[in-house]
Amino acid sequence: MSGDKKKVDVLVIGAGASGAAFTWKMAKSGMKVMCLEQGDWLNPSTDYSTSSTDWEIHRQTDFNPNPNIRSLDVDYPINDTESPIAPLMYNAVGGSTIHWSAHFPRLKPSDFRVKTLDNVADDWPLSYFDLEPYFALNDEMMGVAGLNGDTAYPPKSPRQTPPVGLGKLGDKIASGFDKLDWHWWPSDSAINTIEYDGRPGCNNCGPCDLGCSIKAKSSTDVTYWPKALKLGAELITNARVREITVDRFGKAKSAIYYDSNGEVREQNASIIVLASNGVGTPRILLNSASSRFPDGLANSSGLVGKNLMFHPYSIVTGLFEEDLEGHKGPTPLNIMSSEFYETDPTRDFMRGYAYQVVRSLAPLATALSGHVPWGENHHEIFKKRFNRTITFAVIGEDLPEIHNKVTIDPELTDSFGIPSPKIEYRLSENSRKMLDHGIGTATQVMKTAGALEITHDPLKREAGWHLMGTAKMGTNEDKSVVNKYGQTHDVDNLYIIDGSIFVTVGAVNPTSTIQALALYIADHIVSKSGEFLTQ
Amino acid sequence: MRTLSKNNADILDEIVDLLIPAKGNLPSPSKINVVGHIDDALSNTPKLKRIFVEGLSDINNGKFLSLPKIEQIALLKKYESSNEAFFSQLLRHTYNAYYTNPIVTAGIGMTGRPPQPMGYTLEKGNLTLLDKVIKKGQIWRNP
Repeated sequence: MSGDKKKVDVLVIGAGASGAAFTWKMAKSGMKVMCLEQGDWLNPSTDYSTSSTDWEIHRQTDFNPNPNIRSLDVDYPINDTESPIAPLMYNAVGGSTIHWSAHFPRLKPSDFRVKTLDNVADDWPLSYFDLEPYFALNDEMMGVAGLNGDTAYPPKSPRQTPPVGLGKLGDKIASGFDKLDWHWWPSDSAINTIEYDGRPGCNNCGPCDLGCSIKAKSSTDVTYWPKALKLGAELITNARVREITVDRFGKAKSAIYYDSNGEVREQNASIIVLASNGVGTPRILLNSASSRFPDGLANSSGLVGKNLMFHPYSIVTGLFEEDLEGHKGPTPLNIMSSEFYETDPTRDFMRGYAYQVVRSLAPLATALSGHVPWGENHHEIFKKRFNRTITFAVIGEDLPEIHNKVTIDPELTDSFGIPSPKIEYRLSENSRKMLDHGIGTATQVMKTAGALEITHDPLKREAGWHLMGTAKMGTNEDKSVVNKYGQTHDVDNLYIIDGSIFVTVGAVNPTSTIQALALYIADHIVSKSGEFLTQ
Repeated sequence: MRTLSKNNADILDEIVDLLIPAKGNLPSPSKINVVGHIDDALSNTPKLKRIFVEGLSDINNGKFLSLPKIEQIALLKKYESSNEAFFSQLLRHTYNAYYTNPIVTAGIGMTGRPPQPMGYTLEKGNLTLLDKVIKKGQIWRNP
């Protein structure tokens, strides 16, 4: 090993949603903080395809959210052959917020108390209201477009910018909810609709998933990172972490990583913080097995990698007669409905689901949708579908199950030879019943709004955006990996701040809650830093 | 052509025009060099090139270009089910090239330009429809 840097107070591994928020908070508190990121910076002006005519093709290739399809040098392959849902992620400064849809709902109060309320899974060791100030701070830092007053949530701090426009499409489907007297609300979205914090308002170009070249979307490379770096945080890119080492007292000592030249380096720190997502974090912990921790670091409970939860999605698409101008506006950001979110004892499943209303498919995606035949009728059918579809993503609350897990694949490695993860996942009977119910009710909304034709995909495979539960939080050291502050039970200067620590996952996108947790944990570490830094 | 032979390019030109016939202001694929784009895509992917070369050889059998149009279409329909690996890639790459062409995207009612930097104007929508939701009051469950 060569060229090793001086010991830092806090070393963060991963520069995505949680790592960025946490690093900013550490730097603001005066800590000497460094972050190691596997990927590199992307330049929004030059690295995104939305200014090129072939932008839709990049979704199939170098900007596909599935690392196995994208196969870039900075990615690691994942064996997902034993999962009906493919894990999705991005490796860069900003992590998966680079390609995310920027949905920004919070988990709801009941999501933190599912054992008490519904006798399933476990309660979190903290509540929605413990996180509330951190939700508000994070909203301010990220910039949230939305409309206050959603009856599906306790009151929130004022949204930073007005909600994303509904457009003709949103009005159409809102009429369906209205006739049924069901809940709907404009989505909370991490996107500027007008100028905020030095970034412009969205110009409604559509494909948020291909990166936002004007920086209206709040990926953390344009929100937290510039501020964190200005405060003195150090960010090392192209740093591929192989393992975390421990000293003779069993404390976390350093991270061993490969730099951009492929050289092995070691970075020492007083506190090490994992922010590498629900697959990457257990991968590093399991790859850090040693004689002292033979089953992987921080794994005395045997739960590192276990209880993997996705949000399983069913997709319901309605075809309408009129042109809904469905290519205008952030594609996935429109309306959310919480009508079926909470447990109803009259149903045959526990917990619930939400709908996300998604705008129409782009031209190429419409042609490739499987609904447009080649040949004589091609243009006629294309015209009847383009700009005329509305899609519901039915997002269900997955519950933790021990057999759903991340392990280390015995053969697969990344390009540096670091062992890669394997995913084993089965959709539970409860989730299946929940999604089937969601398909039925989504169909009802579509019919009521006037859909001519309704189709569905019962379980979308390319939908493993949310990776959670694989280093569970809890008070019992035998039944969890970290405590309520993300501190591992086994190694007191090792913390986890990403979706791995979720106890349960609600039925909404997790990023807002992940970042609020990261800020909450950061506050705790700052308050306790004297204990660590004197050791 | 960087990858396809002249003969294979000619066959492919005939095929893509059957997949997406010209109509109104929407051109035939051969008019906007769809085959040239497919050829570029094949040049970077040896596996894809093999699928195309073998598929075209199979479908042609020395006579595709000389068949009447009705028989060409029947042959394509046959291959759609009997050689799904080739046909699905043929359709994907034909659509990829066609629907990323500015003449086509203008012809289907868009602007013919990429989404950025101009973006689009979006209606705010009718938020008065929320009145009933608001009137019903809190639905979140207080634990």
